[in-house]
Amino acid sequence: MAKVYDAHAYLGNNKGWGVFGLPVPFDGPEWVKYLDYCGFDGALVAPPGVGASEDFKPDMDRIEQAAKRYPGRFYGFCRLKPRRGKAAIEELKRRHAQGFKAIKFNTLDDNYSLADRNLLDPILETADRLGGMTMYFHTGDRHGVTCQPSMVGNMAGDFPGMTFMIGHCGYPGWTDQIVPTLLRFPNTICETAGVFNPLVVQNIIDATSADRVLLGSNGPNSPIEIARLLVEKHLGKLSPLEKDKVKGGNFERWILKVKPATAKRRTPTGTGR
Amino acid sequence: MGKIYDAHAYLGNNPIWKQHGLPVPFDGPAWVDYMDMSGIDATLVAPPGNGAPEHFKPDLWRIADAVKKYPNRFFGFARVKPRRGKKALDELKMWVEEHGFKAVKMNTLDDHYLLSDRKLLDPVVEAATSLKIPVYFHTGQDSWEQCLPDMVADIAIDFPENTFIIGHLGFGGINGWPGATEQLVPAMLRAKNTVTESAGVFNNRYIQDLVDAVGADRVLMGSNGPYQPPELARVLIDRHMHRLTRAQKDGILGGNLARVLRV
Repeated sequence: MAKVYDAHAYLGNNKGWGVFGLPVPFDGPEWVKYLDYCGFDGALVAPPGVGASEDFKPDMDRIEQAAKRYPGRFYGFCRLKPRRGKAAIEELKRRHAQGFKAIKFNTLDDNYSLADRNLLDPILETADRLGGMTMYFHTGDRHGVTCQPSMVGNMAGDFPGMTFMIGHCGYPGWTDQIVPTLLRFPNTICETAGVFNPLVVQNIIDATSADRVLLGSNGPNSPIEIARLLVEKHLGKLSPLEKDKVKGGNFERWILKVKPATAKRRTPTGTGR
Repeated sequence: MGKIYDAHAYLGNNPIWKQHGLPVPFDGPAWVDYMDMSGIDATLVAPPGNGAPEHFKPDLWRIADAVKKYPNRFFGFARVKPRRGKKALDELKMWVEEHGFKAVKMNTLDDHYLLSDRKLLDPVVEAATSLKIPVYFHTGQDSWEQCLPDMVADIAIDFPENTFIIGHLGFGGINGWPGATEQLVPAMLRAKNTVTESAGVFNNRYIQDLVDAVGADRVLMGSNGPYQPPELARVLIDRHMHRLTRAQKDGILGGNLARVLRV
């Protein structure tokens, strides 16, 4: 079976997780146990807490340590506040050098809109120059007007060399924009964190393809296990190959940039004819 | 472990379920297989589709049939449009007395009303109370302003001998929006004869905070199945609520519904 990756989860010091019994901070060794318990090979993890203090640095340091100590199990989101300007760009360069795989933006972190390109473009330009990182944007929810899937599409159109991940499929509130955006911009993908609705996921796949949807969980805010179960057992129209793509193959392709294996051509060994 | 009962799911002929691979109509035998696959012993099922044609009757008959064929696997929700007046009350009586339905479900979207319209609702609640069945009100989601947990509490206080189920915890999407989750605990503390169910809520913290505030015996596992897989609701409570005791989990997973339905 193909590997299973979570494209959107959190690692760090969120006291709220203690409420339902997780150790806090929830990081390296405990998170590895959680991955194993829930049937995952690895996860792309962000520092938790909207607009967290110290610009998320303590938890990004935890993520860096986890990725170093458990290679292949954790990949890092660099969560940035774009209003920090030059400091944000320096942080991005530092995390890129540490091997972080994606940048995460949530407009609530810094009270902005994804339509504010003066604010965002310097970061996107830097990321484009550095190469290798996926741009992740939270979309949907109560503040969804500031972070609509179509706004992510507009950026994706201007930076065709980068991959743009539309968080939460615009759910709730802006799912109507997800399919048009994915169809219009081939460098966009989406992830399913918080969307525990098979119809929403199946409709996106039917309209685009199983290549453009990644399993995300929001874990541990929601258990990562149930995101896996949804795709594995409750999307009855998907073929095993399509399920493998959503559960992990697309993560390898889009986030880890693993080239798909191609059948080797047999080398001619002689005349034979 | 106790029996696992789902407090809120749907059985019937909703064509959209076909889109994610379910047989339609989704009823008796296929639903039993689905419960087996999901680790659920029995489910309280309602007819699907807001304001569905023929006042839900085709699917209510499917539910009656499922209850008859699989008496230990299905409990019936009679879904009522209160504006139908006496007809609605007569049918409710028929579903309960002749077909063993165990609860009445109301969703304001079915008939365009508010839960504060007591002139409209009180006759249904009075009938349910005399039939000795609990009353379920949808709350939260897109129509949240019409059906606030606070409005359910107001009704519950006036019918202290009955039990009222506040649907969906007043919850909306991932983080509770659109919804009225903040009203839930005050409403439940005010009206002691209310319980709530978790259909559509996949956030451990919300559920644990609720349990801490009102007690585990007032929270029921619901799924919204098959719109959302019942297995996910079960796994969340059973495997990811680490501060709950086994007894508390057993209550939420089924014991509390058994008590409310008197089964």
